[in-house]
Amino acid sequence: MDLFWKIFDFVNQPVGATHYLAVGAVLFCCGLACMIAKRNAIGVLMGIELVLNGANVNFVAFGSPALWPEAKAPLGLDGQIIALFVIVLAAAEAAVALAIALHFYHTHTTIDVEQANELHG
Amino acid sequence: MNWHTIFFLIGAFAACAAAVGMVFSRNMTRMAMLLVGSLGSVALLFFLAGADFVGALQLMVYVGGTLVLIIFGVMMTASGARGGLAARCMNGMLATLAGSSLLLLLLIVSGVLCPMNIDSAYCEAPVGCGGCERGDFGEGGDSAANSTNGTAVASTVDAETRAAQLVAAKRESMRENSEKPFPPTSGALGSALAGVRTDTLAGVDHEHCDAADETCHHTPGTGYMLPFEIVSVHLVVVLLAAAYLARAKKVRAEKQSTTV
Repeated sequence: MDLFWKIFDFVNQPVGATHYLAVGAVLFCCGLACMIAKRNAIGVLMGIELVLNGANVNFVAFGSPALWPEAKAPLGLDGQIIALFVIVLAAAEAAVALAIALHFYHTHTTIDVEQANELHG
Repeated sequence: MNWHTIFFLIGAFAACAAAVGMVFSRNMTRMAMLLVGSLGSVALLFFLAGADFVGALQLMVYVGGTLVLIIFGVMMTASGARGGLAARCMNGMLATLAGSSLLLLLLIVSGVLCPMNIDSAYCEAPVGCGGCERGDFGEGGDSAANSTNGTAVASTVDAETRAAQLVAAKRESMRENSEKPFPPTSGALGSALAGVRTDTLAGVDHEHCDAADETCHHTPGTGYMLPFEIVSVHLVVVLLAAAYLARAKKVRAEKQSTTV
């Protein structure tokens, strides 16, 4: 019951950066679990997208004056600019990783990342 | 509880639920659709945080561009013909362990969770909450209730009621803050990418000098022209590399077929 009231209190208070950090943490950990557990190379790629997006949520939260008392955000506009760079780099990374995955599929006729073991020492 | 909070809760729940669904889904197409839902909900969160340009770009580049690319990749690799690839037991356990422990750590550091027995610095001053006091997360609520009953010692009652008033004032300031209309950020972002910071021109640079120092006003920050150019060149290189990789496989396949 005590825990319930604490959660209710956290949900009921005005939205601050902590709420955004919680969402970012959940996205990051789900992406990490995807990267570890999936055997499909494109599933791993989607996990990476999720991780980058969780980091982006944190950047925007630290850069948004609407989420801080007295509108003093620690990062200011820098957070949003870094978020833009992360979005662009994620797009570039997705393009290259998909090209590699397609190449792998055409040479191995499978997308299972555990079959990519030619470089084992 | 205002409309800002309600929309935030909807967006946050949708984003987290879609992300958790991605972990447990084995169908690649369904995973891509859940990723669309998660990224779209995060764009809603960006709009709510006052980052309108970043939210719009998230929708256009991520949901409109990257996701289409990924869905094409899913279609061209056809993993569903033999059924989805099941995760190995070892990998599943490792993923659960790493994900849950990292989630716990991140939630403690960001100040959402405060373990009862750990008196860490994060619980005293949560990272993300700015002005929130310990009472927002810890046993402050109970002590505030005690202070209204008048059972505690007078001096601690005074201190606790003062702390509770402080927390209430800060919450009220943040609530008013969230109800104010946000200024559009696209102009400031565009000029910052071109090398001129317009957002730091007006007002006082709180970070490096105090408000009384007149000479320290109007210090324009550095812009982001060089990183912008580097990212542009990087995009060109990456797209050329992707085109080369997608072309090279055809040549190699033809060579293999001719040698065989």
